[in-house]
Amino acid sequence: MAARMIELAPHNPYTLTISSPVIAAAGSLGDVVGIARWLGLQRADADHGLGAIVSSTVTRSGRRGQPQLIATPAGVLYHHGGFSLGVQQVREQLAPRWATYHVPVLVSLAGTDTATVAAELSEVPGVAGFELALPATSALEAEQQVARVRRVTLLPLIVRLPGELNDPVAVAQACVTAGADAIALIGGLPACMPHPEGGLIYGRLGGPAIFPVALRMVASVAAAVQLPVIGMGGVATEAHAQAMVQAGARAVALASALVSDLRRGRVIAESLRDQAIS
Amino acid sequence: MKMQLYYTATIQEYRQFEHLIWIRLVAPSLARTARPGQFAMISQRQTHSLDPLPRSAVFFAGADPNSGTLELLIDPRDPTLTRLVDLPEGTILDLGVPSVNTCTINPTTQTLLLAGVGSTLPALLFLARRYAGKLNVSLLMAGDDGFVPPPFLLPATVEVQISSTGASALFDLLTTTTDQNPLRWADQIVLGLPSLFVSRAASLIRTTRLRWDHGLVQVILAGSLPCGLGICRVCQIETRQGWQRRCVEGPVFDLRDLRLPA
Repeated sequence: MAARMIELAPHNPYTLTISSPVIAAAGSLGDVVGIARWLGLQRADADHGLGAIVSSTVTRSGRRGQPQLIATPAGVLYHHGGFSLGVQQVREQLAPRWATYHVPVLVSLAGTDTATVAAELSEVPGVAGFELALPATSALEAEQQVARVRRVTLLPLIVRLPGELNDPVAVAQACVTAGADAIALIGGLPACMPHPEGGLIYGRLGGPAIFPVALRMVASVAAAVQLPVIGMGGVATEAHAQAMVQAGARAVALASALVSDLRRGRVIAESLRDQAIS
Repeated sequence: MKMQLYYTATIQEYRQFEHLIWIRLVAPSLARTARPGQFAMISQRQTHSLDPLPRSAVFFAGADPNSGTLELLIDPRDPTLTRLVDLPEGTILDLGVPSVNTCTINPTTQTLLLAGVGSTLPALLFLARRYAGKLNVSLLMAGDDGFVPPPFLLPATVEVQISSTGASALFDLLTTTTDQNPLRWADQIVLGLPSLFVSRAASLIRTTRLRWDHGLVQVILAGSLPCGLGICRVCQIETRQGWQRRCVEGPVFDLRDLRLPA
């Protein structure tokens, strides 16, 4: 059966057409290259179920960092520990490999140098677009941050919203005004857990524990904006994905569920095959 | 080409000892290829629970290609392994088994010293059982009360020394001053250690051996393996080749390549 194509950047001249409504969320497949052999990304007939992949966060120079990942009730607490990929690494080592995959790879942007990174990678073959992760911010600040990136790249730009926004609809609308092609939410919730060796680890909570929060925000934003919305935040089962689509999401993104099981993409894509997607 | 990562295994036998659980799994294709130092990322198949999300990382304790079985030996007090406790025989497990750097025994090796603590002990047991009767094997283990593997897992031809006064007692076993100290004469040494013990082990070997070439000492590094696939980078360590992930470039490293804090 021919795959149903979904357009995530309908107003962008470059477009972002995906063959499955399931996306690998930022960093859920690391730098993507390391995981390619397990998913068969270089094969056109691979059955991984993924329509697009978002890389780990890329910063200008890259940072070594020491990430932490702690199991929580029905979820995981993740702290990036300062780790990021670097522009040079992407340009010289990773993007040439991404260009050979049969699934588009987007670069995740976060932090203070997002516009610089987007400008330097915008013309690099293998980079299909960007996902800008916004911190908890006001609508005005969100508009400014999105506009800074939009000014330097014409590639598809997804803006990811965190789960702790006071007014996610206003922030999403500001992102649309500033030139976002699609809105993804939610990128986790702030949380902390005891460290096994003492003290607390602060990070972002993901996994099914946050799904009800995510679903509520997706429903409210999808009803308010005309652009595609990507539902994420604790999506782990077919029922979660179907609920996101019913709430108005055009695609879903998997994070912790994919880290735990690379086959979740295929399972969830199959469950959405016959579902009407807006 | 897509490589096989996931396997199905069925619990054939489950036995609980004082502080250890021994599990025999039926997994014929894995039993043919499993090697000492290899680990599995385990979850239950057909479970409706979403908790806990990360899989449990467990080193294989043995494999028998003839019967198509694998063995696990786990400490039920380890909070990352709770999903493997009290499972009935017949339970189907889902195993993610990445191809990793495993222990390599040289064809010229005659005497093999294995020494370790904690979660890597099953990998050392796997080695001891594989080379029992073929090489002169010494196995040194240390831990707290109740960690001692059941006797039926310890081959009769392997010399076993055990200390149950804590993990650091391993260094007491290794620093015995007699001529029989296997650190002095072993052709190859395989250690199973957490990162915190590596520097101490390195200085001990440096002072015991006149020469310490590449290939003499391999280390199976213990520690958290949340994703097992190189995605999360939680398990990265510093080596002479740069920062490497225990779950991809390891978990077995040459001791000379490690750069770990004292």
